[in-house]
Amino acid sequence: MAAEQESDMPEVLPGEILKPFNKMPCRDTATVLLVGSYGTGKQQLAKAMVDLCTDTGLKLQVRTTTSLPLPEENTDTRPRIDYIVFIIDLTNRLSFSTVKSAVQCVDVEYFLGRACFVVTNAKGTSDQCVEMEEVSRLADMYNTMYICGATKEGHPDERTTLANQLLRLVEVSAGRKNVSPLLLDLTCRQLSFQEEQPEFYTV
Amino acid sequence: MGTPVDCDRVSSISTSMGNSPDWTPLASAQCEMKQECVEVWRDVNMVQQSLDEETAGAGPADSHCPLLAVSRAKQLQLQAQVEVLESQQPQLMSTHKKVIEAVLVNLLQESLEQLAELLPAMKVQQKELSASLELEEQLLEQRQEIGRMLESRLAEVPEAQETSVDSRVKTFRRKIKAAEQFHGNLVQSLAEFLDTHFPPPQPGKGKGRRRHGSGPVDRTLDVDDPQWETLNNMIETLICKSMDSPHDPYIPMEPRYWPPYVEMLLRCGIAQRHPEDSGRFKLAPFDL
Repeated sequence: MAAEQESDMPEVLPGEILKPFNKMPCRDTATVLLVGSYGTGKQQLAKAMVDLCTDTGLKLQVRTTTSLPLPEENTDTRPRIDYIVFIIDLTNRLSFSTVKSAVQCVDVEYFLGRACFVVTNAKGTSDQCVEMEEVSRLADMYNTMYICGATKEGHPDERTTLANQLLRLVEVSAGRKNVSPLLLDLTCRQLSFQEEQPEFYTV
Repeated sequence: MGTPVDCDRVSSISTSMGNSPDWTPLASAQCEMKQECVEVWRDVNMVQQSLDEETAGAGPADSHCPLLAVSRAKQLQLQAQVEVLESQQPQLMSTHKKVIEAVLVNLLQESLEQLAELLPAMKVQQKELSASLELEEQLLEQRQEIGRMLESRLAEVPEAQETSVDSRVKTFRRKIKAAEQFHGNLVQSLAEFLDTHFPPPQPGKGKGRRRHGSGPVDRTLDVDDPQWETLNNMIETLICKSMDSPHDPYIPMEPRYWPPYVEMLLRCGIAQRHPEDSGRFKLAPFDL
């Protein structure tokens, strides 16, 4: 455990790490945690997801936070987190650094199909300060998929699509469908062996 | 992973069995299901406890190489899932009649809904397929006909070539005859035309055309002894000479040629004088 070592990163105590199987699941409920700094559209996305669930019989609880680790006070009343969504805004450098530090407070188990990255403002507008490559590198490092979408007011259709996708992932994670999240994770990968990138450019 | 599914099953079954008339089997079925649920929930709790004890030491993904930790965890979980699947005995659903009925009814309803969704799509697809089938049949018919025609043509061709010389000679003879007939017709009609419109001038009160002034009435000639050459003969001579000897198609002017007719031929461009000798003339070379 990284308890007393000098390091650049702030220390993460073992009790603060989010674990997926800490608590018992509840019937017909699922809990999603949206992690993203201010201005990434968490509230709107949360509302969209809850609206989608109103008549499906699934009681969805969406919790939002701007940074991990989560504060200690709520640990007992908080239900178990089934799914974590890290939101990165490509026009906001702070959101990227928040997510980078947040992924270290999360148990390894979450990266087996119970988490994903959502990238907003990815449409190639000129005010991007985070490169898409950095995001994909981060996603590859944690072997987790990322989805590009929109969470703000200007794109209600895209937000609904994104909410639908996330909802599907959350349902599998919560155990509603009789499928392991690893199986879904498998569908997002290419199974063919890819050649090294440099070989493309040596002619 | 089993609890939510069982709970779902219970809820769905209880809703489908709600209105059944016989109470006792229903009540006993419900009791049985509840008992099963309670046992499964107890198992889940025990599993959770042992899980808590075992994974108390696990930590987050290593910040320097998270991929390694994630992959390792994935590998472990996959192995565990494989083991569970291999060792799992097929589970017997409860043998209570009501339960089985309810489950069956639910499954049938689900498949009914799915099939109902499928039906319109299949109908549309069937329509499209039958339309394309008709089109293809039409095309096939057309092409078969073409094939038959081509085959018959092909069968004809070698036959025609096999009867080599004789038939060819025959066809040529036939063509020559036809040409000759045509030629004869033309000549005849020309002669008739010339006779009606350009007759040779008669002695005395000639029947010749008086347009270019009155023809010389040759009173010295007898009535029945016309000495003037007919225009028909003149033209015939011109044509024959030009066909027979194309290098020298000139014929000399004969006294029997009535000069006005000669002048007419020259003026119409049908005949031309010899450039050096005015006593000779030829048929104008219209074919050059």
